[in-house]
Amino acid sequence: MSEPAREVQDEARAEEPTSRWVTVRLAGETYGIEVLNVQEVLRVPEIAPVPGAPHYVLGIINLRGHVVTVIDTRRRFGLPPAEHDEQTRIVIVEVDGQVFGMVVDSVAEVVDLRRSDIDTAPAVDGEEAAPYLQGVAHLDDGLLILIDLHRVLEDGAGGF
Amino acid sequence: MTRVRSAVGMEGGGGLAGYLDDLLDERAPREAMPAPEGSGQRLEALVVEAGGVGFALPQAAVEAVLPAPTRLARPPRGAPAWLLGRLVRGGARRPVADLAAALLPRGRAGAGPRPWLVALAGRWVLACDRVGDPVALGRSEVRWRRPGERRPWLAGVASAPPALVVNPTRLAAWLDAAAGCGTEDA
Amino acid sequence: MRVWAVANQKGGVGKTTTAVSLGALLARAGCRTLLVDLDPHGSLTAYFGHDPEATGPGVHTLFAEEMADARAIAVPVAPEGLALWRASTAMATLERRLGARPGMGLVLRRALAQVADRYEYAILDCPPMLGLLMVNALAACDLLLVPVQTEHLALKGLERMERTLEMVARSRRAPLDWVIVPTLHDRRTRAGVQALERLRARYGTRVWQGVIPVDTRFREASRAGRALTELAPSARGSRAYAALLEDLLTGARARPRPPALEASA
Repeated sequence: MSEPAREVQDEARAEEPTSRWVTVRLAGETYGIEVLNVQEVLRVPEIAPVPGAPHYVLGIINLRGHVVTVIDTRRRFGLPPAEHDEQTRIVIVEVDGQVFGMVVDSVAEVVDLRRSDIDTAPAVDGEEAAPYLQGVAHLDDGLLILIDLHRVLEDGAGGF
Repeated sequence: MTRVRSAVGMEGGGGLAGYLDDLLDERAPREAMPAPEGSGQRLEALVVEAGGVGFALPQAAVEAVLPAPTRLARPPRGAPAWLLGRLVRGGARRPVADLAAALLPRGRAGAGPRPWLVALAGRWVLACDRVGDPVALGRSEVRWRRPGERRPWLAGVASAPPALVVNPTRLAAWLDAAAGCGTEDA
Repeated sequence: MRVWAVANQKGGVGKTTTAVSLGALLARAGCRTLLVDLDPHGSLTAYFGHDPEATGPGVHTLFAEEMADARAIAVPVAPEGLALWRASTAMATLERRLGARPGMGLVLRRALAQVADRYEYAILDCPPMLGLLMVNALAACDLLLVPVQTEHLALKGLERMERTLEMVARSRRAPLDWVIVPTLHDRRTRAGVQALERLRARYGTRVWQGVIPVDTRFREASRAGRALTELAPSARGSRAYAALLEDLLTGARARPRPPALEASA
């Protein structure tokens, strides 16, 4: 790889490091997934169950010939279950060399955060979800909870 | 090239071999079909918005939707302004076009950044402001156009939702030509 | 996904019955199966109670729309696990409207590739004449089933079919595996028995080892809009198709024949 390419869209805010997040809704809250890790966003296709997988694994999908594990993000975060509907999406992420899909209630927008926007020692309601969070950011219209993807698949969900 | 126009009455002979060879020609591009007469068929399309204009992309031509990364690999020197750079995806460096800046008249495109990318089957990735839900466009809700010289990518205009219906094959060819050389995969 | 085409340039030889029966048996066996009606007459479509005059999405869509989404045109039919791409009478005009445009013979193959993850099997019911739709089927299939009625004139049509297959195999640049399925066989008539003998003598291991018998219950099942294998699994016709499917799946489709018999033909 040659030297990293320069920004093409965000030159104006070059002073402070920024990160870009795609915001998703889960049980009424807004969560952020770092765009760097996002491969694509898709509507829910047919999901084939995987016997013996961890409880939060919904199953696998065939993504243009690649088999991708899909997790029930609500269940992983200890949130109440919900039926999939027209707004439900799967966010395909790659983290630590693993590709997996996260089911979310909906996908909202893309936001840029400066480092100073992010509070890394947050107090977040819902103890179960806390291990998967890396911080919060305060947006104009509320709190954005930032997901720590490295922890989402811990306990070996990808190990099959 | 001699082609047998009709399949009727082609018992044996060289005409049949030519007919079959033509039909099974892997390299032939899929040409635009005349819209079926009076049929109620629908076109599954993804409607995206760029520069305040809706573009309907046939669902079958859409490979993936993804949020735009903060950085793209630099476009080649001398490339048009709408060529935002290149997206590294699946090991390939694919050119990213600002959909509005590339297709709309100067001054109509509005300012970026375009936070969403739509990767088409093939090479091109389109940057846009918003990605809507898939819709089924009724035949009668689209005013179909013959491919024109100025906007060969425009297959028609849909009324509900209002959108320019894009012919993805011709769009890709048009972008290739408009971008000039230097957009090939590195 | 495995793709089987059912074709014969002669009509009325049990093509649709073969497609329906094999499809239903595969679905019952737990294999998701797609039936594709390529015949503008729409016998397969009508079999399941759909109207070929209607304009809903179906095979026609694939040819008429440049970027048709093959994933959006299937309709479920019985039993569970079976789906259908419908034919419409509008398909009869495809030949005239599209003529012989280069590459048009590959439309179906490309459409099936779009749904390859949804079905284990696709069964194509072909029109009785060689043309755009038949060429599409022959380009898309892994295996061709040629139902042949065991009657006196059957062999004539088969020779024509054979020539067609050779040419398609050359144009598609891949061999085309095919098997003859003797159908509508009436073992009580001398003509039937002789025709079967002649078929086996002429085509040897190309001929499936069993036969599909004449069975009036096929008509009954057709009227009920269901496969006979669903309606009456133990009917003679049902058992014959079950045996055919088993042989197709295990590859033991032809009876080994003593060389002497071959030579005497």
